[in-house]
Amino acid sequence: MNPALLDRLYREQGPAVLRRARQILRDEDEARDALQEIFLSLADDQAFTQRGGTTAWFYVRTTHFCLNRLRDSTNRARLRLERAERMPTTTPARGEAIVLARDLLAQLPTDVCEAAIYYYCDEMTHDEIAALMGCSRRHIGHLLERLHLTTRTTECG
Amino acid sequence: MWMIDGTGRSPDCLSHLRCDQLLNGELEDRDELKAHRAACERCAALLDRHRKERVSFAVPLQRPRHHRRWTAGLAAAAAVLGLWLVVPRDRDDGPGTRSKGKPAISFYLKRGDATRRGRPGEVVFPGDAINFTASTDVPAFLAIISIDGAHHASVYYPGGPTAAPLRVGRDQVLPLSVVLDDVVGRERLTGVFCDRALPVDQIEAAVAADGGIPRGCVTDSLTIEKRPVP
Repeated sequence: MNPALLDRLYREQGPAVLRRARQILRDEDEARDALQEIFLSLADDQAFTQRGGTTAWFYVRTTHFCLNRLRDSTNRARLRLERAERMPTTTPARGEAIVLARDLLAQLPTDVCEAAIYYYCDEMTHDEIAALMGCSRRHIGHLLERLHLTTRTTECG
Repeated sequence: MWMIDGTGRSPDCLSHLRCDQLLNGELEDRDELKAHRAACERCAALLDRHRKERVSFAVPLQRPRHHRRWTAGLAAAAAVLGLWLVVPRDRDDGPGTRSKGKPAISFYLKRGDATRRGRPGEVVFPGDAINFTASTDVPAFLAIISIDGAHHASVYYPGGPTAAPLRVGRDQVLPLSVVLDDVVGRERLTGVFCDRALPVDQIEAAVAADGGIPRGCVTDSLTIEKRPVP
């Protein structure tokens, strides 16, 4: 990739990539590693072209990357332990919902995780999520319903 | 009054994605959008937070390492020559500690048009190219670090940011090679075989510090002697 384009993308997209990595990985070093890995992989990609949907592309790419990282068994065990240590005993209602969603990420199907992140962390509408994930608005509703069912089951179980 | 849903926003409110798209020029800042922000504290504050996040973003981008490649030629040479012999090396871990199944690195040397198996303490010259091979009896993640004559550490393998997966096998030709620079002297090459994909920066720092190899990793080292071109 053209170094000037890489620099520009890093300036424009880097903050959002780091934000998303922090949200999912909950570890500053891991998040910064993810930031570097995502952009380093682009450096060797000669076919990448900046398009109108570049920002959305980075959202999806980073979300997938971090979810895969989180699902890695070694990392998952360590991160969850660290997260448990850092997690406050009480959180505001909205914060609690987000923390709960994060804690479930390692167990939930990928599409449910994605929808949950876009909905709770990015505060997207169902329409926006549907456009990003390439599916219907109705399907997004189903995914979030599955999330809520799982949450309730977890809370009760 | 805005109709607020479960996330605390109205359908017209900005998501984080929309904020980023707006700041990246991908979303037209139309009049109705401006009017909404003027009337919606949440969206005005969110966009302001995104702006500040950009201003305070100060993480430098690490530049990719560049390796010159001649992999295809070497891989072909290795295949044609069928070299599967174990070459003895001047191991720094002593002759008594190395077992047959221990992970190991070796290399091919390319000088001009000639390619051959590298030897222990091989005398090499700037411009020579080396392509590593690696052997392991268990799946591993590998990085190869060089400490050159000026005590400068470099990552020779892999090209990416984390140790590369290595399948079980003997003398596997790695898909990356390096052309030696003009720093002369004794150069120590260390293969670090780990049970997970550690960041190469972490491995490089550990090897450069001459100790403290990360837990779950084992090493195999060899040396080459780099001299000025005669």
